[in-house]
This record gives sequence, structure tokens and C-alpha cells, in this order.
Amino acid sequence: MSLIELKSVHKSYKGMVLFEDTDLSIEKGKIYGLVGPNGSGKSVLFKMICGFVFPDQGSVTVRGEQLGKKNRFPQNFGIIIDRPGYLANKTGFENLKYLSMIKEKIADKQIKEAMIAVGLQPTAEQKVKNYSLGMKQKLALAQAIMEDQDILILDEPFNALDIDSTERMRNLIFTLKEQGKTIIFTSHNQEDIDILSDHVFRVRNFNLEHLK
Amino acid sequence: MNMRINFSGLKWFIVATFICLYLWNERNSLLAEAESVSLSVNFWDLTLRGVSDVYLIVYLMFPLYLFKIGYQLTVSFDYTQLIRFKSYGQWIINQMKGFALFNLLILSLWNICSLLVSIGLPFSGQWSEFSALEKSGNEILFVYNHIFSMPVIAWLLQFLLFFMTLMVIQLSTAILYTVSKRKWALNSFLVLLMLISILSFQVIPASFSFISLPNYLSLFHGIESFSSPVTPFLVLFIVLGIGCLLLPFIGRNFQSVQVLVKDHWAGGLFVGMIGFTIISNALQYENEAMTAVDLWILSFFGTTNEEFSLLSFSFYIIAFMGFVYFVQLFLHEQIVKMSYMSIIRYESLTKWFLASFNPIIRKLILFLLLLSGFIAIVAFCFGYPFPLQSNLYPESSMGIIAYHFFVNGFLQVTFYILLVVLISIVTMDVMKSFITLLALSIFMLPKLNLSYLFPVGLNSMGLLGASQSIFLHTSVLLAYALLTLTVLAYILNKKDFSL
Repeated sequence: MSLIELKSVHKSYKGMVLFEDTDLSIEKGKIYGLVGPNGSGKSVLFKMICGFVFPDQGSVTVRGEQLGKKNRFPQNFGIIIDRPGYLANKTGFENLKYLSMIKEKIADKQIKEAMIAVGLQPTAEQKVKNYSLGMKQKLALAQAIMEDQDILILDEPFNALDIDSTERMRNLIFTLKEQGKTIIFTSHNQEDIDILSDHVFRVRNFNLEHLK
Repeated sequence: MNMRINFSGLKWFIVATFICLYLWNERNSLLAEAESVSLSVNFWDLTLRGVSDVYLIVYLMFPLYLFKIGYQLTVSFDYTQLIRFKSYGQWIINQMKGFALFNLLILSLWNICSLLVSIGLPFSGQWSEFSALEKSGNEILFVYNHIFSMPVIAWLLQFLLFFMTLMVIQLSTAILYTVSKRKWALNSFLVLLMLISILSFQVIPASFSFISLPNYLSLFHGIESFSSPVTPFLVLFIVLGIGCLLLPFIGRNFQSVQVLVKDHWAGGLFVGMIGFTIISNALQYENEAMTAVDLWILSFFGTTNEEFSLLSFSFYIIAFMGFVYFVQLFLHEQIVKMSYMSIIRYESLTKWFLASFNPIIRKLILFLLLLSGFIAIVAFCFGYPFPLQSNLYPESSMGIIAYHFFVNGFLQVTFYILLVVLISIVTMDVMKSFITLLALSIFMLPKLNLSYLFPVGLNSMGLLGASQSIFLHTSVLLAYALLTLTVLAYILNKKDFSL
């Protein structure tokens, strides 16, 4: 059974048709790369899978449960959608702590481990407003994995990263896959897509084209 | 060089001519007034009226000084000159020395003009008969006569006051210019001073004595406003002292201070304006038969369909809409920026909204308590009695007054916040929501809020005196808050969420 399934999805967004009769099946423990030109609907597709926007027609099912107005958000998702914002006057650790307190599932130890895993120093006093774009991107990935989320929806996770950091993130994503996580990500860098993805989809003609 | 000197001489000759002409006119009216009451005048009468005349000061002398300050600072603020001074502080001190000389020269010119115009009037070291006359138009001499034993003391103090005031203004302007390094900031400051000086004795109420410039330019006005010749000097010494203490720190790299100012200037301004207005109210009603409760009512009077004052309306907007503005900033920081990451963890938009709304509610309760606490402290400091009743609305019990302030105040501000959130989510534009709220405040103007059924300004304390029951306002506010909450819940749960 598919972990995530889109069936006959139609979606128009802000007056623009993005998807028509689109199907997608995501299996557990694999990495999916999503490509497509700017404005083609990649982010909206992610928002649909996460429950933020509703399909006009068709259905989105996660772990066998159809998302809808009564069952809007799926559980245990780690996400990076759009450019994440933070509490500018707090440190990276304090930002993650704020988010972790919502579910109260993890202790400070796990937050620190997630920060180290992405290459951030958990004890640094630096406020997020003084972070570089790359550091903010690492922080975004840290929040997406810190609670041991089993499905990761990552919109441009490699954006603004330098070569070493990109390499580190790629290794981290492979490790997460080995742990059984399911990862769907977008990237404008073909190399990221080629190296990481088990399956690649391209948004084209209001549909998803299976490339690999 | 010679041309410059000649031109400079001509310029001051023109100024001196203006002063002499004005004082000549003053001399004629003085002589006419004295003749009409058959009292003798002397040389000091004209001199003291001439140097304390607020029209001469505000419309001629003060603008002249301001022009000089602006010109001198901009011309000498040059890096080839600055480098020769070891710090900005040293440069400012040098500017002050130069300006002090100019100040002395112009004051001397002004007094020489008085002397010239006084020729022919009897010279005496004592007060004239006319100076003791309590008569409209002779307030300056009458006040001086009653306070100072000899006219020369009044003259010296006026000379010193004017000199010090201009030195303080020059110092403040120089500090502002070296910190901002912007000509527009300097020019705006000088224009603002000019406007304040003109408005001070015509428009600005007496409760704003401390910012009224004529009180520091004319000893007579200072005595009239503060009931003492010492207060204006005291204020000037304090400001001068603060300015001098700041000098060693100017030009240093205070990044953390800059960041602090940048992050908190709006909050500081908000708190400052609230404090200033409440204290002004306390000063204004100090000598009337008012209780602390009355000060509470008058400070948050707002508007009613029958009673409207621009100051009350403005303060209502500053206090309550200002609070909503800060809530909006908080919402933007806490909710909007981290929305997707937070919502996916709450797994419900309703839970997410309520979790974000809880701290706002706590802050609102604290805000209302702090406002009333501050009123109590100010009332205590200014000696207002605390009988827990209102002389303004004797028929309203303390319980009713507190209920209106806290319960209706809470509901009213909650409604404003819900409306702002709703519009922010619908339009995806935070500013639009705040502008809408400000536009709605038009319903606070008299006669526009028919039967008080529109939920704007319903926590105005002035409504305690209106014919409607304050419980009606509670019902209206509750109904609108619930309606807004319902619409918000619908939009959150049934519509796409995308920021």
C-alpha cells in the first residue's frame, strides 16, 4: 500500500490551473525528487500533501487516511515549505525549542543532536537574525528531522548551501533513508536530483511525469 | 574677505534697525500707557519689555539664532576640520565656543538697541511707578517688579536665561547632527523648534509647560508657567548636564545600543506617549475637584456621540490601537513567520490559533492592569484623593467604572485583535488589516455610531455618562467578537491556508 497517494487531483491556485487529473503514489523508505519550472506548482503540491491547501477535486491519502476538512493535517511530517521564517531575536536552539514545545515529544538532547547533524552549533549564542541564508536553511532541516519525523517534505532543502554543506546534507538524507524515512524534495540542481532520488517526477502539462 | 565683512556688517545693521523700530513702537505705547495713568516710567521699563517680548523673540531673534546654528554646524561639519579634533565631542565643544561668542554679541546688540531707544527716559536703579501697576498689557513689568527687588536682577536673569537656552539648543542640535550625520535631520529639528516656539504660546495648552519654548526664552513666560523663576533654569541645567555627559560617548560604535534602539524605539515611543498624556492630564486637572477615579475616567475618556475632543480621541487611538499594532507585530513574529512549521505540529489550525492567541489575551489583561496601575501611581504623586468614587459621574459606582474599563476594554480590544487577524488571513497583508482598523475609528466621531451598535470605541470611559447601559456595550462587543471568531474559525478550517 502507498504511504501517500494522490488520486485524480485537480487544483487551481490563485486563478491558475496547476494540476488536472493528477495521480501520485509514494512508497515508504524511498527518496522522491520533484522537478519543474518556477510556478509550475511544486510548492502547492507539497501544501496539498501536508493539508494546507485542499484539492479542488480528487483525493490526497496519507497512511491510508484521506485528508479533508475534518482530518486536515497528517501526523509526524517534517516539512520545509516556502522560505522558513524564525524568531529573529532568538538563537537557533531557542527557535527549535519553541517548536519542540508544541508536541513536547523530545528533550533538549534531541534538538542538539539534530543541530549537530546539520552542521550547526547548538550552544552558539548567535541570534537567528545574524544567520546567513545557508545557516537558516540548515536550521530548517534540523526542525524537520528533530522529532524523528518519518515523512519529510522538503522544498529546496539545498538552497543557499555551500559545497561542503550540500555534501553533508546529501549524506544526512541518505542516512535518513537508511533509517526508513520517506523523503520528497524539490531542487533546481539536477545533480542533487540525480544523486539522491530513487524516483523523479516532473511537473509538466498540469500533471506529474515519471522520469525515473 | 572685505566684501564678507561689509556684508556681514550690513546684515546686522538691518537686524538692529528692525529691533530699534520695534522697540520704538514699544516705547511709544509704554509712554502712552504711563501717561494715561499719570505714572512715571524709567529706562528699565522699556529695556525689560524689549528683551522679554515674546513676539520679538519668536518671530525675529529666535529664527535668526536657529538659522545661525544650522548654518554654522553644516558648514563646519567637514572631515578636513573634524580630523583636527580628536573626537566629535571636541568638535561640538569647539562649536559651542564659537556659538557662545555669537550668542553674546547678538544679545549685546539687542540690549544696545534697547539702550539706544531708551535714551531720553529717566535712568534709575529702582523700579518705576508704572512697573508696579497691575494692568492688562503691563504684565511683564508687574511680575518682575513683584519678584525681583531691582530691575537689573530681572535684566541679568533674562539675559542669562536666553543665553543658556540657545546654548542648550545649539548643543542638542550638534549632538543630533553628529549622531545622525543627516542634514535633513538637522533642518527638520530646527524647523520643529521654530514651530514649537510659535505654537507654544498660542495653541499648546498650559499643561505642556515643560515643552513650551517661550518659557525658556522669556523669563516672564517662565515665571508665569512655572510660578517660579528657578524652574526654567533648573530644566536648562539638567538638559545641559545630560548633553555634556553624552559628549564623550558620541561617535563611539554602540552597535548593541543601536540594535536596542532599533528594536524597541516603537515600544518606547508608545509607552512614552501614554505616560506623557496621563501625566499631562494629571497636571491639567490637578487643581480641580477631581478624584483618582476621575483621572482614570478622563485619561481614557475616548469619545461619545455627545462629547468629542481631539486629544481624548487621539489618546484612545494611541493607547488601544497602538496596543493592537504591537499585537500585530507579535502575531507576525510568532505566527506568520513560523506558521507552516508550527501548524504541522499542532495538526489543527484551531489549536494553532488558540495557542497563539493565549499569550495575547494574557498580555491584554496585563496591559489593562498596567494602565490602571499607572493612573493610580500618577494620581498619588499629584495628590489626587482616593475616595473610590467619581465626582465626574457620581451616579456610577466604582464597580461599574472598573467593569467598564476592564470587561468592556478587554472585549473591545479582543474584537480589534480578532478583526486584525481575520483581515490579515483573508488579505494576506498585515498592514491592510491595521489600516482597516484605523479607518473604522471614524465611527468614534460624534453621531456616527448610532445607538452604539458598531463595535468601535465602546470602551470609552465617557460612555459612563451616556444614556445607554454599559451592559449593552458588553452585549454588542460580545456578539461581534463571537461573530468574528466564528468567521475566523470557518476560514481557518475550510479554506486553503497559504501565506
